[in-house]
Amino acid sequence: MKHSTFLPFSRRSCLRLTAAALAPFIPLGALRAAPTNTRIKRLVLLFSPNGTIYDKWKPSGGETDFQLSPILAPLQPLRSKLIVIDGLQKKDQGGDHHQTGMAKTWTGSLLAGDDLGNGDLNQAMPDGPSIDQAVATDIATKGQTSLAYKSLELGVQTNTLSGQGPAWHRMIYSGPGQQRPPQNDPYALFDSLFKGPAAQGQAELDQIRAENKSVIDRINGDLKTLSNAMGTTDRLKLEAHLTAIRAIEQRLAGVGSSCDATQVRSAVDNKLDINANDNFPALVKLTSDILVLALKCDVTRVASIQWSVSVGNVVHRWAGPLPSSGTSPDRDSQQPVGHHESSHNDSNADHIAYLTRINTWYAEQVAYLLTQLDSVQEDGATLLDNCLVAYGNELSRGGAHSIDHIPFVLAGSAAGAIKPGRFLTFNGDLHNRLLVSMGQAMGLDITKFGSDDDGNGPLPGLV
Amino acid sequence: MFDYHWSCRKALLGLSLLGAACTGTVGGSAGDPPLPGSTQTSGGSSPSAEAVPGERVTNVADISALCQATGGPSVAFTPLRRLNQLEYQNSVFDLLGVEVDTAGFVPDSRVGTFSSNVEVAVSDLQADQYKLAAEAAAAKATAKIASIVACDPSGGEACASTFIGDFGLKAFRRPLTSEEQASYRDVYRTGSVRGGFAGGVGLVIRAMLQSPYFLYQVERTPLGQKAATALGPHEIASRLAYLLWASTPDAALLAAAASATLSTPDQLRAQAMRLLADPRGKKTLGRFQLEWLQLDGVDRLEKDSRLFPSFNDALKQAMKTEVADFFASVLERPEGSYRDLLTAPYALVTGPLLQVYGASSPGPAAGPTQLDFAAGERSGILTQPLFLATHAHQNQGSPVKRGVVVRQAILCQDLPPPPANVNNAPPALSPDLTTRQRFAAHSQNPSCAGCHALIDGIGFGFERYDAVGGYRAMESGQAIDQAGNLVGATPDVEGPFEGPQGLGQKLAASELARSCFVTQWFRYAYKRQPQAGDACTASSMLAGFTSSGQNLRELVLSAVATDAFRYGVAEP
Repeated sequence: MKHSTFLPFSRRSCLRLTAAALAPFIPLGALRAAPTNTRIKRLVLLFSPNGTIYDKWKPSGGETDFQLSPILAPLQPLRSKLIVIDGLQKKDQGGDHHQTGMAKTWTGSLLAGDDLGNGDLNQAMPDGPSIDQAVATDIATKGQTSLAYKSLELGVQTNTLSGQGPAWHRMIYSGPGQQRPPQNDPYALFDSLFKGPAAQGQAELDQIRAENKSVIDRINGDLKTLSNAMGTTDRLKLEAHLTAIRAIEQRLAGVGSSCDATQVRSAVDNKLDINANDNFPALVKLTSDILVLALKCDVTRVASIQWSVSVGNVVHRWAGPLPSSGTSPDRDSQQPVGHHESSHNDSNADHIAYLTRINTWYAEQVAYLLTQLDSVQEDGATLLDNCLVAYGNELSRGGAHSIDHIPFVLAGSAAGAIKPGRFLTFNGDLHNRLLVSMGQAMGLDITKFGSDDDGNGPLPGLV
Repeated sequence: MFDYHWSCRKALLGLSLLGAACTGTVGGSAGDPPLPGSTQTSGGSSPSAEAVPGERVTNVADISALCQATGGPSVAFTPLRRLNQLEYQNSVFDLLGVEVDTAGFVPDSRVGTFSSNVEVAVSDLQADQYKLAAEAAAAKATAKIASIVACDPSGGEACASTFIGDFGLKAFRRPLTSEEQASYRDVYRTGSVRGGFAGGVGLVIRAMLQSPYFLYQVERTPLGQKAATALGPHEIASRLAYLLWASTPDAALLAAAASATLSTPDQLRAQAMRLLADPRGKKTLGRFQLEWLQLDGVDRLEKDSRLFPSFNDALKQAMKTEVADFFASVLERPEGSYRDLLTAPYALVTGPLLQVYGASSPGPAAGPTQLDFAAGERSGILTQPLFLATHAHQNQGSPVKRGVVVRQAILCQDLPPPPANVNNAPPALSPDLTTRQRFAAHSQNPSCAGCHALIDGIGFGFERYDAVGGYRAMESGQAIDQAGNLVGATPDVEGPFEGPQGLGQKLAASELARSCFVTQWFRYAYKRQPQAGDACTASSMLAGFTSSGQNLRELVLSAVATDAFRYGVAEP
């Protein structure tokens, strides 16, 4: 009996991966045989924390003749595929804007359920889903295709900070109070997406399938029996679990698995400590690479990557010299100052420079992801063209905790649904209007989104 | 019972207004700012002590006042809960003798600061993780097949049936029904086609470890019935084991469940004593302290390597070990109390941690070395290096962080969030100034003093301990001033104190701190917030703890004899 896995990879085992993954996972047909004139839309949400340096972020010029700012300069090669949006604000419901801003970013919803605050009692969470989950549900409901994953929530070093409730650190929600924590571990992610059984020949493959089916049938049976004995809330939990098991069943039946993972092999092989501060850049890159692969292979059409958390204090040693304050002249001049700590010094020139470099570095990571997406050709367009990528932040200015002028950047065109290459400015409109536009671009039939929505509809001129 | 809340709120009101003045926006842009220490959850302005049954309240002192001796048992609804990562690892180890890695699991959700998993449903990625972990565990276990089955593998399906019954009982914490046995025999047959006996058993393990009966702490209460009903003996056995071992029940517990000797409070206490005395009990309950005092992020803790070159993984591990060893030692002594936790003048120290305490290595000692200190030098959990290092900056101690954790975790008082527009970076190190002098700036600034009076006055009591918990009598050429002052709480704990020992003595005599400690234990023990339906459970735990002289073991044991432990009720 073989119980081999594909890790760690050798060149030979990697070849086996491709072959074996193709063999047992014969696509159901719907996926790749779909009419090629129907472009497949994807939605990707990106997040980095602690606000920006607004005047180094805001582009200059008009809607089409705009000049990118210092912070957004790394996106210059992709300028024609961007929409930079300035002047949107989140609805202020009080509380700490790190908390409310985080949870509202993609939900546009009021935080409810408990007092807002900074203590461990605080479990306030948004009272509705995030836009990506609404889109993912819509895609699943329309049911034109079976996806291996309804959505993927990814993150890099998004562990919660002690003494703060979930809304401080979570941006994706499947419904009221239903957080979907991101997968922080790219190696586990890789296993989930691309690890398949090793088999020698069709007979063994058939047997592996029979074994998988036997296990899945048992889990399904137990979940259903138990679910019937539970009250409403518990039943919802078990039904969500059942949905996740059904997704595994589909994947085992071959949906979306014919994917060549060679290009991330060496990075996955060389495991890094996922919690170590200095591994942050490598983990960001690897997570992006895996996501591009997942989108390219149509494993999912909705995904998010959360870089750090609101109030996250990653020390960005790779973003140039650290600010010199907080140090003793006789000891050193490079005290490790974290992102959040620095954000509260954003009137000091050293810190402004550091924070500008941090946000520029994040823009480089966005540019890297977009460039990878743009390098994948799909029926006359690129994968990026078929995506709607939205990059946001919980705050505008980190030190002031302000939530007007949230820095939003869109990229791609959602398969032609929106026209990129523009800089749009608004005058204090709620960012719910952006969420409505994003939903419409992705095919949702909505004119409002989130409980904060004032009913003003989508952003004019976007979709 | 209500009085101190009123006085607490009055005391805080004045401070809170100062706080609001210092920020302008504390707690919100409209309406009253939330008061530190407020526990009401509806956003209304009524004090928490006026909570009515059915409203969600979160402090045992508040809700215990609602207890009415109606004669019948009373309990709030316990939501279905998934095992947390520690429980998952321990359970698989105790079932199969193999270790599984849960690093890739989606993070546990928390109740308060305690890992609970009542909130978050299984996502696609987490379902994958359960699958991968079950496959890994099955592969490891079947590689040593003879050690996991009690019969001769050459017996084939007959032996497999025995395994299904035995392993199913342990994994699901209840006997399997005959239908379940039959369906898992089908799983065995499927697996044995390709892999023989071990393959069949491996497939059964894979299926059972992904079953909801393993992954959730399943308790069935009659739907639609409002009255509390007694949990079944196997459900009780499971609760006992997960509470005291963070793991699955052993054979003796399952046997007690089968013989219906797990129903009276005395029977439960006797079993709980047995579990506590077991090595698993001794190593597990330190977890309570780790999560209570927010120490469980130690793996991600970093220190400035130029100032603290020996702060490495081995030292962090020794810090965690100290927490577990010390908590177990207080629990083990019949008279061990909350006061001992806070004030004990000794430490139990292993390996590289000895250096932090300024002690030399005792050589290859098997267990921890007990270090005894001069009066006031060390004070129980308040001066453990893990506590002091966690609530510190990378290069210096933090009176603010230490004050905040005492306020939040030990007094159960929420603080308003730090305001925007303030520089919250720690002050620069300086060769001429002590930490207190450097941090004094914001408490001398009238616009900050209101908030920081609630925080720094506590934190300054920890001045004799550096960023990794080392003791110092001098800083920057000056003698350390460790005078602290606690304000904005209740009269029984307010006022000046000298160092952690002085603070510990005050906390140990405070009703506010005591009820907070019981609240935290309630959350850990029941993996949910106390609610109005738990009034009599809260009342009995609080009263028992108080009358026992704040005996730690009494508190731990009291949790297994309550209505909240022994009864369940359907979701309202």
